[in-house]
Amino acid sequence: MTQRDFLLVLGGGAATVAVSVVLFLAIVASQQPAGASTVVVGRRAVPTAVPVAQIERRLPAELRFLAPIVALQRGVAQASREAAGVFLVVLLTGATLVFGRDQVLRIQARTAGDAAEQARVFGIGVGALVALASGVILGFFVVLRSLVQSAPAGNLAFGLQTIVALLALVLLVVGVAALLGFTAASWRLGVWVLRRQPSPVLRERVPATLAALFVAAMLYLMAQLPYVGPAVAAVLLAYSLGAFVQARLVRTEARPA
Amino acid sequence: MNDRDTNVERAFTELFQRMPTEHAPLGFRDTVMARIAAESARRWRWEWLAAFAVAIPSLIFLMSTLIEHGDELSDGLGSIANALLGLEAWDASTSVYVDGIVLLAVALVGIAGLLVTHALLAEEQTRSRVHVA
Repeated sequence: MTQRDFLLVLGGGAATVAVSVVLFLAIVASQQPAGASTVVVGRRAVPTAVPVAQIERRLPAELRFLAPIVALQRGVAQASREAAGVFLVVLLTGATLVFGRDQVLRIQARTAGDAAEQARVFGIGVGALVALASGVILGFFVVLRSLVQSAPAGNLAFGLQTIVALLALVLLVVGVAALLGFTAASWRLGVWVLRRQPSPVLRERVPATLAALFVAAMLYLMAQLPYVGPAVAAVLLAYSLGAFVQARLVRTEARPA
Repeated sequence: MNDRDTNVERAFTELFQRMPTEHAPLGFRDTVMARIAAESARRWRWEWLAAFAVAIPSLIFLMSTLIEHGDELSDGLGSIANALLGLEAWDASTSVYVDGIVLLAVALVGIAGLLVTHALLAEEQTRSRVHVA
């Protein structure tokens, strides 16, 4: 066993212990009959949190040394509830990096260039987004009008459901394209951030995929900011779509170096 | 590369060109490639370790939660079904609450799944690269 293997096993063991302790305390906190509910959906009141002191009292005498970690577990639970969106973005970006790595690399390579090139990619995205929105609105209106004029009254609901299902399909296709573009953009931004790190250890040791996941999470958090968040989200969507269109739909000759 | 490097390289090239060509023994290449393949297969992949480190406690926790609070989950799903069928009216006062640790455990299991998939794909790519070589 090399030193690297030993450190890996040690780190893995420490991570297992840390995760296990937090999860064990969560089980203790939610134990019935006095424990708080874990899932509440519908017209029921959200459960109030069990006081930390009460959870500490529930710990067996041999495990009382874990009492100081109960407050930490409570903080992790609250932060995780707020961070569900970040988890989702990291999971989706990671899945795209694993399952669509070739596509992501191709998009990244085809959209490489200076600021002018990036602005062009963004412009393509804005154009595609505007055209798509116009097409969806017009298509919705035309189909809806023909449906109302031609369908018997009983089939109207079915027709409307079909339109909604078609809209969902369009959204799914656009979403997959945007996800590929977003992952490629996160990768590029991650590499850019890594190159500007003052520490050579960080520059050399941190993998580009990890940097891409970090940047994806940061971009999502930026899109949640008040006032500027919607603008950030719109720019991200337009650039991501533009990168996909540029790489997958536009055939260009190789540019001279 | 400066002139001195070029001269040294040229001298080496001339020296190697003067040496008589000698074929590698029969089976030499296959032996070397088999050893490389065996070493690649033996090498630890950190993804497996990281995946097991976070997935096993999370799965145990999720199973325990399902056993302990399974009725709450079925109540929640029933409430969603009722809302879909129009049997239950939802408004802004409707609660959608899931414990943060449950969300964290689900996310960790998902990330572990991705890590394992990545490790399996990388192993397959390494093996096929060795076989092609």
